[in-house]
Amino acid sequence: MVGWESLFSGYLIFNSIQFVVFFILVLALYFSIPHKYRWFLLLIASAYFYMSFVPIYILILGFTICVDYIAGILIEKSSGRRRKMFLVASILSNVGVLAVFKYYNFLNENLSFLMQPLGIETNIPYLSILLPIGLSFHTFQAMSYTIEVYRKNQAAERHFGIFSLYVLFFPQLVAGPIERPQNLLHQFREKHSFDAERTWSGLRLMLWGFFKKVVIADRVAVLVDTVYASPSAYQGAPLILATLFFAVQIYCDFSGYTDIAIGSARIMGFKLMENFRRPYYARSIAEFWKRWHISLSSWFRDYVYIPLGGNRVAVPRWYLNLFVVFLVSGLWHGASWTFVIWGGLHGAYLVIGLMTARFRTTLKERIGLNRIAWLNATVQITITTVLASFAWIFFRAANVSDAFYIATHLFTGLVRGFSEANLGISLREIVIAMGAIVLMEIVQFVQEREGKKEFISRLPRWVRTALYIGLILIILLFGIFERRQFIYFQF
Amino acid sequence: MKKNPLALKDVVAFVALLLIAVIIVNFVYTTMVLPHKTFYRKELLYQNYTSLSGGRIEYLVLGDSHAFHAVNPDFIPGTYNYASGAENYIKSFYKLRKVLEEDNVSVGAVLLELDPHTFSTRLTDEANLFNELELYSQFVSLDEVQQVRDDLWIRLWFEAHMPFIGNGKEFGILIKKPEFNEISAAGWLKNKENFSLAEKNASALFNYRSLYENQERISNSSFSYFIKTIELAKKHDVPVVFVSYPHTLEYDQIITEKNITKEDYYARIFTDVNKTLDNYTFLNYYALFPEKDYLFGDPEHVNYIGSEIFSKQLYSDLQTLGPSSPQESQIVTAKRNSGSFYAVYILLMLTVLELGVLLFLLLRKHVKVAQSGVILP
Repeated sequence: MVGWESLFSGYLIFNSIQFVVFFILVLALYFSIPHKYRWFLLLIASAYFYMSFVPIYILILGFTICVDYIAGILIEKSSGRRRKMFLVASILSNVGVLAVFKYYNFLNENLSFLMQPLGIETNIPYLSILLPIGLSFHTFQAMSYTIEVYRKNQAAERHFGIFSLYVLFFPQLVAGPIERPQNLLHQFREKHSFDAERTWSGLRLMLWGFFKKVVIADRVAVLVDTVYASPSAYQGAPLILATLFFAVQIYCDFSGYTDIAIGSARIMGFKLMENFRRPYYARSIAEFWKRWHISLSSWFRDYVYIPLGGNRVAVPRWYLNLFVVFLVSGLWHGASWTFVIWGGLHGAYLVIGLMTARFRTTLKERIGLNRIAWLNATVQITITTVLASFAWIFFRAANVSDAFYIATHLFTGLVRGFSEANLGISLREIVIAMGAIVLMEIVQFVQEREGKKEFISRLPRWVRTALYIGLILIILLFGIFERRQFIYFQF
Repeated sequence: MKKNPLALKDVVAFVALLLIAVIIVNFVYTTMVLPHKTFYRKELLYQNYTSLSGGRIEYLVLGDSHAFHAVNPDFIPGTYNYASGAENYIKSFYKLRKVLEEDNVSVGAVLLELDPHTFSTRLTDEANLFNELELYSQFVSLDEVQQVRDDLWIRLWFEAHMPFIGNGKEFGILIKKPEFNEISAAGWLKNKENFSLAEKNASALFNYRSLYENQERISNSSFSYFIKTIELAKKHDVPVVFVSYPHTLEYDQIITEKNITKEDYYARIFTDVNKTLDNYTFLNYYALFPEKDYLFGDPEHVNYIGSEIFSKQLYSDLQTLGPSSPQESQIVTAKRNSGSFYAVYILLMLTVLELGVLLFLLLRKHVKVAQSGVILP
C-alpha cells in the first residue's frame, strides 16, 4: 500500500513532503486557469493550508476577516468621530481575539498571583485551548489594513474574497512577513503569467530557505533543546555554546521560513516584503531592529511608536516610548514573562545606547578606535551580537528561573556537562553546523556586496547548474528531515 | 512559456543531472560508507556467524546497548550478540522473526533484555522508532514499517533506498575508518570507557533524564511487540531468558530519588508474561557490581572488563539455572552483597590466597605465572 492519500493529510509545514505536493498542485492549477478565477483558487488553497493544522480555527480567521472587511468599508464611508469609532471597534475586536486565545491564561495567572496577598481568590477558570497557529501574524496584518484605510493610504476593499485572501494568503499566513495592504492587496488583481526566470529565482530562494532551516537551524536545535531542557545540568561553555547556537537557530529558522514564503509567492508572481538583512552584522541594537523581522519592527514603528509621539517629544518621553514599544513587542511574541523581559532588555539596550552615545563617541576618539574603521566596525558588531544573543536567553528559556540560571552561570564552572553525550550532538555534527554557517555567511556576504541577481546571472551556466545541484545535495546529505516546526509558528 | 522557450528543456536537463548526481552519491554511500556502519557490519557478521555455525545459535542475545556491551560471546560458547544501540522491542521482534522464520536458524534460547528503561518511550520516539530502514527493509516490508511509524510511504521508501539522505556526516568514515576489531565476530561491542574517571553523578543524572524525563515508562507499542516477541519464541519452542543488565550505584540512586520503581514495574510486566509463557527465567543482574565503578563505561553500561566478568557469571547461571533445566519459571536476582556475605567472601579469598602463597613458595622453581587477560586498574 503506497498510501497516496497520506500525501494529502497532515500539517502543511514548508519542510514537509505534503507541502511540496500541495505547492506543485496549486502552482499547476494557478497557471492553468483563467486569471479571473485565480483569487478563488488561492483562497481555497490558503484555507486548506490553514485547516491542515487545526481546522476549527479557520472560524477565528473568519471572524477577523468579517470584522475588518466591514470595518474597512464603514471607516471609508464615515468621517470624524464615527470614523475613529469604527477603527477602535476593529482594533478592539482584533486585540480581543488575541487576548482570548493568546493572553487569557497569562492574564488570569498573573491576576491570581496579584490577588493572593490580598486574600482574594479569583477562581477564574483556565482555558484549555491550543494557540491558533500564526495568530499574531494574521491579526497584525488584518489590523494594518483597517489602520491604513483610516489613514486614507488604502481604499477599502469591496471584494470580500480578495480581502479574505489578503489575510489568508498561504505563503505568509502563519509566520509573515506581515504585509501592508498597499503592497499586497493590489497584487491579487494583477495578472501574473508564468515566467521562467522568476520561477528560477523563486525556487532558488526557496532552496536557500530549506538550506537554512534543515541544514543549520534543525541541526543546532538538537544541542539547544538538550541544554535548554535541563540548564541546571550545565555551567559555562555549554550554556554559552547553546545560547550562541540559538541565536543562529532562530535566525536560520525564521529567515529560512521567510525565504520559502517569499520564494513561493514569487513563483506565482507576488512580491512580498523583505524581512531580514543579515541582522548579526548590525553595528547597534537600533540597526539590529532595522535588519531583524523588518515587517514586525516597521509595523510597531508605524502603528505604535509614531502614534505615541516617536522621537518628536521630550527626551524622557522618547525613551519611554522606545521602552514601551519593545515591551509590547516582547508580549506580541508570547504570553510569558520571559518574552516581556526579552523585549524589555532590547528596550533597555536602545535607551542606554542613546543615553551613552556621546560618552562612547568621546571614548572612541580618545583611544583612537574611530580612526581604524574595520576594527571599530568589528567591535560594534561583536558587542551588538553579544547583547542580542544574551537577550535570546530569555526568549528561549522555558521559564524565568531557567533564564536567570543560564544568564548567571555563563562564566561559572566553565565546562560542566561539556561532552558529546551530554550535549546531544556529536563533535562531527558541530563541525558540520559550523561549516554550514560559514557557507551561509559567505553566500550572504557575496549577495549583499554584489547584488543577488547580478552575481548569480554573471556566472557561466554550467557553474550555476553545478552550484544549484551542489546545494540540493548538501541539503539532502546534511539536512535533518524530522519535520520540525518553525519556531515562529507558535506566535 | 512563449517568453522563455528554453525553460522546459532547462528543467528536464537540470532534473536529469540532479538525478544522476543523487544516484552517484547514493551509490558511493551504500557501497563505501554503509558497510562501515555498526548496525550494518553486525548484520554481515551475523550472516557469517550463522553460515559458519551451520545455522545454529545456542544463545541469541536481543536488546539495546546494555546487552550489546555486556554479553561477550567469547565467554558463552555458541552465542551471537544480535543486540544493537537504542534497540526497542519492535526491532527485536522483527530480528527474531528473521532469524527464526526467514533464515531458519535453530536457536537454543533467546536472551531478551528486560531492564527498567526498556519500555521507555525514548526508545520509540521519532529518532529511534524504526530507523535504519536501509537494513530493516531487507526483512520487514514497508507496509509493516508504516503500521508502526504511521509515516508517509514515500518517506519510508526514501529512507530504505536512498540512505544517504540526512546521513552526510557518515562520509567521515571514508577519511577516518572505524576500528572494526571493536565488534567481535559474534556481535559484541567492546566498551573502552572507564566510569570511575567520569563525573559520575552528573553523568548518571544525564542518563536518567534522557531515558525517563518527560517519557512514559511503558510505551504501548513497545509492550505489545515485547509480548509478540515472546509469543514468537514460544511458537518456535525457543525458551526465553529475560536479562536485566548491571547498572551503577550512582544511576540507581538517581532513579530511586526520582521515584522510578522497579518492583511495580516488573510486577506489571510479568503479569502479562505469565499469561503468555509457562516457563521462563529472569536473570536480574541490575545490582551485580556494587560500587565497582571501574567495571562500567558509563552509569548504565559495563565496559570490556565488566563484560568479561559479567559474561562468565551469565554463562555459569545459564548452565545451572538456564532455560532448558527449569520446570517452573524462576526469577534470579543477583542482589547487592550484604555485610556478612562480604566477611565470608573476604575470609574465603584470604584462605585461597594463603594456600596460593604456600603452594607458590613450595613449587616456585617449577611454576610459570600466567598473565591474566583481565587488567584491573
